[in-house]
Amino acid sequence: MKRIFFIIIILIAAENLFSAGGKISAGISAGYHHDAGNLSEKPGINADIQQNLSIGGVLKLDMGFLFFRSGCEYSYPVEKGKISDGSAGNVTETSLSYYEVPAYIGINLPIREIGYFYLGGGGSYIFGTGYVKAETREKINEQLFGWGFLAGIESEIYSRVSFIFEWEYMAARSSPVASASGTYDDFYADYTGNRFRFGIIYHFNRYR
Amino acid sequence: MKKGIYTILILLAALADIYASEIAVIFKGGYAPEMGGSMQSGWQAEQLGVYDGINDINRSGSGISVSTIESPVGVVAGAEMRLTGDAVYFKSGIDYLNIFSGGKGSTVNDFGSGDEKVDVTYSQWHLYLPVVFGIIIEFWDEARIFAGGGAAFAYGTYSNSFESASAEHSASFTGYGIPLMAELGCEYILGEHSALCCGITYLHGRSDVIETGSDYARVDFTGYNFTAGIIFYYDFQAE
Repeated sequence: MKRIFFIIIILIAAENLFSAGGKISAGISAGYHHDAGNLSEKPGINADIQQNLSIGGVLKLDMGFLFFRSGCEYSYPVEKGKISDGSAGNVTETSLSYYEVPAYIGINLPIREIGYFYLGGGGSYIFGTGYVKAETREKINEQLFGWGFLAGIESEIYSRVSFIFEWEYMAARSSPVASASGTYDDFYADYTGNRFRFGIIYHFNRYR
Repeated sequence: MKKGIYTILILLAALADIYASEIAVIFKGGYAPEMGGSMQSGWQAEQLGVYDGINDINRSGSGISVSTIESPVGVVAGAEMRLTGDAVYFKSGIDYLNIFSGGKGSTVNDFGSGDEKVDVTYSQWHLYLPVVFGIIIEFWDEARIFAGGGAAFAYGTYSNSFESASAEHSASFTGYGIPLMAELGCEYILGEHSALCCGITYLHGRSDVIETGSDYARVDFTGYNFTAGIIFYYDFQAE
């Protein structure tokens, strides 16, 4: 299902790009993921939430009124999740880091003299790393796909260079990675949540 | 509180009708990245020691092979009607969501005779009738961006089933609620009377507690959904 979805959006992107003389842009971004691991959403857990900062590469294809957005981003915890009162059983610390490869397609609205507003659906592949500390430190090695959506604005700074600001929501949870109860592996890494990022992109063929 | 919101929305709707310059019909489809909330129920807490439903159900260990119960992804279809004034709009209609992926798998539990594999299935469908008021900004007859808020009347059914060698349980809970709602979207104008659109909708709310036999649960309507579709509109001030 997910593979079919990816093939379809890549085919749509390729067909539109080559037939409509699309615009290819690439650049860098930095972002913020509040409450990575979603500790505040787990009932009964009293935790200092984890906060991640990210850095990544952006790839954006504009094809008339459609866009395709991909790239690769690394998200790292600048503030680890801490549970010191035993409310999460054996789990006392989370340090979830991950690589994210987004694939979104949607509507790209040109707003004259201002830039673009874009909004699309799709999802992201997550390659989860880091660890959860329970009785022992459990390393995470997970590959997941999460469905989500992306909304952003793009505003020209100088000729071929634009500023972007994006909001992404994506839902993905791993299988259990650590034991909170001490009986089973029952604590999972939750990558669900909102991400905000800004960046600079360069338009390779803007005037084609 | 909810009565007050509805009174305000109905008054705003009446005003929108007076000042309306355009009427539009929207057909849309899409998906909900995660639907049904936690899907917690009384039986899960009492028999499995699971207190956060699907967020808490996955367990592994004991050498028993299990498959992860993933977050349910929903498919969305809707038809709506919108009245638009100079820069404001009122919208209502009907939207339907149903889980099409996720929510199935297996976990491990000890019912008293040792660890055993438990097959788990969560499912849910619901529909909602939105009552939304918002602002819409048009850019040079080319594009529009809109954002609005309101509430919805939501009705649906949440079902679960658990099956193992020594235990079997299934239950279905049907109920309604009035979740709050917010939306953000955009339109690309194709011609005089049509546009492509896509949008993000967020609902927040759930039903009262529903009892079925000895089990109890709520139907949770909370979640985002992303939709794309086509709008047909008639601008009766421009004619």
